[in-house]
Amino acid sequence: MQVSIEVNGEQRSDEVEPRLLLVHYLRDVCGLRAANVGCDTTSCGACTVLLGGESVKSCTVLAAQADGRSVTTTEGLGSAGEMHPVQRAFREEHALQCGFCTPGMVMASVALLDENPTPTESEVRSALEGNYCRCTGYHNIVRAVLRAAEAST
Amino acid sequence: MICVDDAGVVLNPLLAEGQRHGGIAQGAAQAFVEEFVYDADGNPLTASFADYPFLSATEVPSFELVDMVTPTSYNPLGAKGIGESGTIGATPAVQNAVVDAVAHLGVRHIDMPTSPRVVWQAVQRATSNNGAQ
Repeated sequence: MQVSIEVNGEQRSDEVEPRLLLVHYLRDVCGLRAANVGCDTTSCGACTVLLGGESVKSCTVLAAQADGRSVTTTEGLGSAGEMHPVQRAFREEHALQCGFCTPGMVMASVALLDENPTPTESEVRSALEGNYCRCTGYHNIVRAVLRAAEAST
Repeated sequence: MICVDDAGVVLNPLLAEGQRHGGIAQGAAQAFVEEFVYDADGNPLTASFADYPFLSATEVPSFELVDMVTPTSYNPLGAKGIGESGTIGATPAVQNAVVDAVAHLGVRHIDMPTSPRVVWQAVQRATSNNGAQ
């Protein structure tokens, strides 16, 4: 089937199988490898992207469901020269260890701050509940999200 | 939660801190939730992240880390280990805290991990023993 999806601001049209998952569309068709496939069961959140501005786990969304909509991955947030405030805060707070969960954490955090620009620590923790970090490095991740919120207000 | 570690000479404080954050959280997780479970026929019941629980940002508190640097004389760098060293102290600290929280009911021991069911059973055993006495 044919899908038309705006990916990181670029309008695309691709022929895909109806069963193709959004994360595989992003990684294999679009060549965008930021969203990782961690668990394949919507548990870990490593594949989190924005669909129409809302965070979704792209391993349980079909590419077909994104037809006519916009998708943002971590690649679409900023550039090496000009990082998104959340990316910058993750860097400043060293909010990563192995880095596998980081793209998902960043996207979930962007979605949180869009919805709630001044979250409390407990609201940040609650918003990231669906994103696992197996290095269990939540301490710095939470600090980074709070720092990004501070920087943008 | 306060964690004191002595890794000797630390070459990269950022990574060393991360090892401690993760170690404390994983140690706490072992006392709280983490467990491989098999049924009577040996089938794994915790085969995916949907069944095998570990801690998310919601359950892990922030930490206070205290640094100590006592260089070792056994290698030229003076460095010891830091890899997830927090796991060693965090598991008994959390386990003891859970036992302590229900000690007034007569509970003296709870098996890991301290799931609600296990804690409830320990409390039931302790309180029914008291009733029999």
